[in-house]
Order: sequence, then structure tokens, then C-alpha cells
Amino acid sequence: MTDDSQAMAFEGVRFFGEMSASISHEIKNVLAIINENAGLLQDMVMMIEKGLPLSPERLSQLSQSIVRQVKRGDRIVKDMNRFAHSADHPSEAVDIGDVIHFISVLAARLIAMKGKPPKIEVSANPITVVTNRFFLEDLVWTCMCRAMDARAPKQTLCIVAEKTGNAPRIRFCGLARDFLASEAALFSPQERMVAGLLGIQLKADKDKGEFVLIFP
Amino acid sequence: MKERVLLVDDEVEFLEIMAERMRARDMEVTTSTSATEALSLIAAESYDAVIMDFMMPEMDGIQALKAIKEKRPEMQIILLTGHATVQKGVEAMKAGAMDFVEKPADLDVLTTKIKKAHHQKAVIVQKQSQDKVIEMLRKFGM
Repeated sequence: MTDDSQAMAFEGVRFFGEMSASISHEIKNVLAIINENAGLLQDMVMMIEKGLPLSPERLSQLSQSIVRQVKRGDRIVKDMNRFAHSADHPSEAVDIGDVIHFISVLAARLIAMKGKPPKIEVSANPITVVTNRFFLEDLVWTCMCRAMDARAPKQTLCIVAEKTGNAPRIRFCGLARDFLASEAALFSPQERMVAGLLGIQLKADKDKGEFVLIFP
Repeated sequence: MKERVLLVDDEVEFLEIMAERMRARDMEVTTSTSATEALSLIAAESYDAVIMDFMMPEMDGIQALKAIKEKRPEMQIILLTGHATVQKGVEAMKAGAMDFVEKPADLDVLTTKIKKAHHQKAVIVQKQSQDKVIEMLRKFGM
């Protein structure tokens, strides 16, 4: 294995691990709520044994909570399955707007930990590119993290998927100018490496307060 | 005396049911959905144990733990998380957590830890009072 392909493999595993850890946390939260519902039902059984009355409304609330959490757990597992299949093909047709939406759902907890979620603007028509889905998800996520850490004070961070001429692109807008001052420090070696593999150009525009991923 | 608990988690359903079960076990429970809100609560009230999730919006568990310990060193903190790794556990204990419990948690196990927190806090408060008395006596040359 060459140094480059080894570095790509490490980056892929790192990204997969980061997403898997976040997903497992979400599943644990679902299980914790179902566990507390079960515990509360057990507490109620003990109350009945002591002759205390049982409220049918309370029981109904508990069953509804369990149903809600099962649905939530199912959605998380479906997203996890979809993510796992991202790496199935070396190259495929991908809607870049869909990738941005998917990553924002998949990493919702990690995004919430970084503050207000970014505003996502995607055109009604799909913007399709032929690329490696998994590494595009990786690049979108690392850029999203970088943009959230660099948002300008009192400005909304915006992620825009658009097509100018024949070139699809993703813009990360609302960034602090200080952050954009040094292009060398703006993108990490991993981001440059993944962008290079996908043939994506990384550009920063200090005046507009944004950086852009330009697809080939 | 009732154990006073502050329960912090951004999962509202979890918070409500857990609090209901704790109250049924004769504990005094306050709930909060964010670390920021929890910090203002601990500035105004005293709790035996603060039980909080590791991963929350705005501020992560370790940051919140350090901020609480700085303001209220006597308060005992139990981190409750679905994201347990040995490394995180060690980091939490080094930052002053009393314990580290994985979700889904057994409330009986948690109750034992809360009682321990109640006792440990009482010991620390007593020691703080004794230290104040000793300091006063020293001031008067005694």
C-alpha cells in the first residue's frame, strides 16, 4: 500500500468511526428512555401490589413513549444502514444536496454540540455528480465542522448546494474573516487529500466570508 | 434528610421519567435540559449530586463538570452517558467526577451512588466548616 492510499484508508476509518460513535450514542439514548419506561412500569406494578390506584392515562403515555422511541430507533438504524452502504461503490451518481441533508441528519447530535445548526439551501432540482459517495460525505462533514468552528459572530452559517454554469459547487457562508485570512491553514491535510481524490477544488473567499468546494 | 439531585440531559423524555422514578424514591429532583442552565441552577441552589450526560448541546460534559467543580467543589458529579470509553471515564474522574455510569442505567445502582454522593458532600461541607473555624481561631492567635 502506498503512503497516499494508506492515508486515505486511515481517513476513511476515522470518519466511519466518528459517525458510528455518534450513532451509537443516539441508539443508547433511545434504549435509555425505553429502559426508564420499563422501570416506571415496574414501579407501577409495585404500587398496585401495595393497593395504590393505577392511572390508565399514565399507562397510555408510557406506551406512546415506547412507540415513539422504537420509531426513532428504527430511523437511526435505517440511517446507519444507509451510511454503511455509502462505501459500496468506488464511483456513482450522487445528488450533492442529498449528501448535505443526510450528513446533517446523521451527525445531528455532533452538530448540536457545536451550537446553532447551519442553514441548508439546496435547489429543488437534484445536482448530480459522479463521485465516491463515502469520501464526499467525509469531505462535507469535515468542512461542515470547520465552518461551524469558524462562523462569524451574529451571522447564520449557511451551506449552499448550487450549480454555476456546468460546475456544481458547495458554498459554506457566514464565516469569520480572520479564519479565512490564511488559505494554508484553512484546509487540513486530510481535507486536501480527500478533495484531491475526488477532483474537488477548495477555494476560500475572504471578502465574501465563505469557502467553496468546486466539483470537476 | 432527602437527597437533592440535579438531573441534566437534553433528552426531555428521559429526564421526565427518570425524575419521576427518583421522586418516587423520596429524592428531591430538579431537572435541566442544558449545561448552561444547570450552571445557573447550581449558582443559586445546593445539590448533593449532579447527574449529567456527557454529550450535550452548547457545552460538553467535561467542560460542564470543570465549571461546576470550580463553582461548587463540594457537589458530587455523576456522568451518565451512552458514549462510554475508558479514556473518557479516566478524563472525567481526573476532572473531578465522583462516578461514571453508562446508559441505559439501573436506577438501583444509581440510587446507591446518589446516597454515596450525599454522604461525601456532607463530609466535605463539614470539613469546610471546620477549616473556617480553624482559620478564625488562627486569626485571633489561638
